[in-house]
Amino acid sequence: MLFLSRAEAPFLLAATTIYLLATLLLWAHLFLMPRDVENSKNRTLGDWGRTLLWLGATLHLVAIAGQGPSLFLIKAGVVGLFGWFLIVSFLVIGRKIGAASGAVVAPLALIAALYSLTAPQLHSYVPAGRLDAFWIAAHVFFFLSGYVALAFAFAASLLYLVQEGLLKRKKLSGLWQKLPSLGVADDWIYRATAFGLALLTLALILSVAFSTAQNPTYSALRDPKVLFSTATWAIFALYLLTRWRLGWHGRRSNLVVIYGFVVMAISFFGVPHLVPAS
Amino acid sequence: MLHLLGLNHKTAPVEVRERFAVSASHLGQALGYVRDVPGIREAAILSTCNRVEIYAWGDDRSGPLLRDSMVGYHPFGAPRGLENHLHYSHDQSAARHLFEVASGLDSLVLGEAEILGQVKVALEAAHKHGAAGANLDELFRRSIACGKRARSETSISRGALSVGAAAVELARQIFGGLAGHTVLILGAGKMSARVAQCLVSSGAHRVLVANRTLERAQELAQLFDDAGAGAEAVGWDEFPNRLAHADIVIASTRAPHYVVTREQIAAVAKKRRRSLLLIDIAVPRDIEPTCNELDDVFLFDIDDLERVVEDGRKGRAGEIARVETLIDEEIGAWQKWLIASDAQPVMAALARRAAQVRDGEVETALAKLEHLSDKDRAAVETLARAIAGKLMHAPLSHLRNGGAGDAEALKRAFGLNSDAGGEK
Repeated sequence: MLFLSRAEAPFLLAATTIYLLATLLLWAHLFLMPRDVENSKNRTLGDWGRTLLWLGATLHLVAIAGQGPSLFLIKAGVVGLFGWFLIVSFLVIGRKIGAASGAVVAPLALIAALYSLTAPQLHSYVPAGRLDAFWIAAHVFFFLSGYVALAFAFAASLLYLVQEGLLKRKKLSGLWQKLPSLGVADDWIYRATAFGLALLTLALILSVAFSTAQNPTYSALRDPKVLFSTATWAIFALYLLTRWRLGWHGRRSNLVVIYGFVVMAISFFGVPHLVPAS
Repeated sequence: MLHLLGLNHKTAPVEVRERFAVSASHLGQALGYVRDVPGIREAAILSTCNRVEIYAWGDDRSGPLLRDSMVGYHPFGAPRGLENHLHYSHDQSAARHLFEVASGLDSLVLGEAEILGQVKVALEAAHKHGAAGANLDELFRRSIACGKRARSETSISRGALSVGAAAVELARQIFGGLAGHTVLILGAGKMSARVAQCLVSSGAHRVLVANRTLERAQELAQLFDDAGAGAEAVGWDEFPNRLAHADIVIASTRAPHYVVTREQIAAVAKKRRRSLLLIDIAVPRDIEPTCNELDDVFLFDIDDLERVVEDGRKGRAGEIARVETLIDEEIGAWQKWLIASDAQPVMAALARRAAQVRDGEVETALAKLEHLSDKDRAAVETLARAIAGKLMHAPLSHLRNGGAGDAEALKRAFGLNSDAGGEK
């Protein structure tokens, strides 16, 4: 149990457990409970789930603070930071998409926290000086912000597809009234994707520019991380392009966002394990 | 003591209710009549199409008298056998009934919102005619607060109960909101007009009406236009061209075949950059069912809408227990207020009695102690005030802090006048 030897591990373990409980509560609220009233004084399972997420995010923050600046250099640390960032974003703005988005976002954060807890300590880069560290932090910040926005786009796309399926199949009892309307979800997917793509673009440019400055022989075309990130970028760009130029919207358009997120997840979680650290 | 006498949709058929109904113009007279009943001090009448209920505050003998008086009263003559339809209750059960009424539990349409406004109007009318006092005012205000809580803290008022409301719910789940959306009506019948009216009330801003008889389409369009929604009558042959302008299509013709085909909708859907909602309430159906298979096109027929209504009914019925719990809380709070307000006259009488005894004894003592200086006389008066104050402190605090149940015992113990704290 390598991970338990780390000082921050107990906090991360507690946060992960709490994310799991919160996920179960949010799912139970969505699938088992009747439609709740927003200003009800009675706390719903969803409310308890959100309270747990706050608690989990606080413990997670302690674990992140415990890792210190080295967090930015270790894949597991960056993934954990993504999970924390995602949860806090959901707690602050996520309800605007609909409380149901928590049922998608919380498990994503749970997976990120689990990865952070159990993954080997892959060092993606060792900075040579303070300037290096600054560029790495900036690069990670833009990537993470973009990924969080795109994760919200994915959550809204998933909810859109479930809602659309319920309406098409005339399952007009229970769940359909707890999911966001197609119009609201579609609007959120568009905004989150546009915002996420802008940040991803910035992060990619920074990444290539920094790597080239560090190593004149560096070629982005031979860097699998850049290639996967570019593929992710291209899929989300395709979503925006088809929406603007061809008027695509709804199911077809949202499927593109889901494919984009899957590629993004592979590039984020998988690629560091497939290729040697640069 | 609170008395409730009345009839409603559960106890009396409409032919009895309509004879007993009290119109706004007769309300003052009816309230005066109730207040003339011996022992009644306050009155309010809740008169709607589903109920006529008299809430009266008086002594415990006035219940039967109120019943006898009401059976004999009515400007149009009391309906025969009225007494068989009247329901009577008092105190807590009467108050609970009013709270249930205000919360929509006693309504024909469970959880409907209109009744809350009618309870407010009944209280305002009672005040206007000088019939409401502190007791009924408090009771009605608490029932209104309870009604508001029921609607905001439970789902008793949520869920569609009509085909029109079901269409609105579906439209909201597809578009998010209805503002700026256009409704196309195919077949200017009553049913389609009602559904369209619900959509317009919820924000749809434009209505196109297509009918085989253009005059009928124009009449209906005029009605919507008068109601403030931009409306336009469209010739029947022209409606396929107008499909592209509509976000919601309501079909309700008597045609024996489909009037809207998949081919037509597929052509429209290709050009659109937003969803299209088709509501087919015709039997036989007007819209080809396979339209639902097209991307971003949602088709619902009358059975689908009925299912939404049924779900709404079940949802509301499932909230009854939560509303009852809320009413229990509110009734408990009202009873506490009632007990505390009952103690007020006893507290006042007790304080008066203490002051009387104190002043009398001080006067007697000072008459015998004429040699005392002004300073000493003041000291004696202060002493008497302190003794009386300290003696009264315990019983007054007890009454103030929930000991109103002992008011009668204290009245007897201190020999207070019977009007010092009797029934209000």
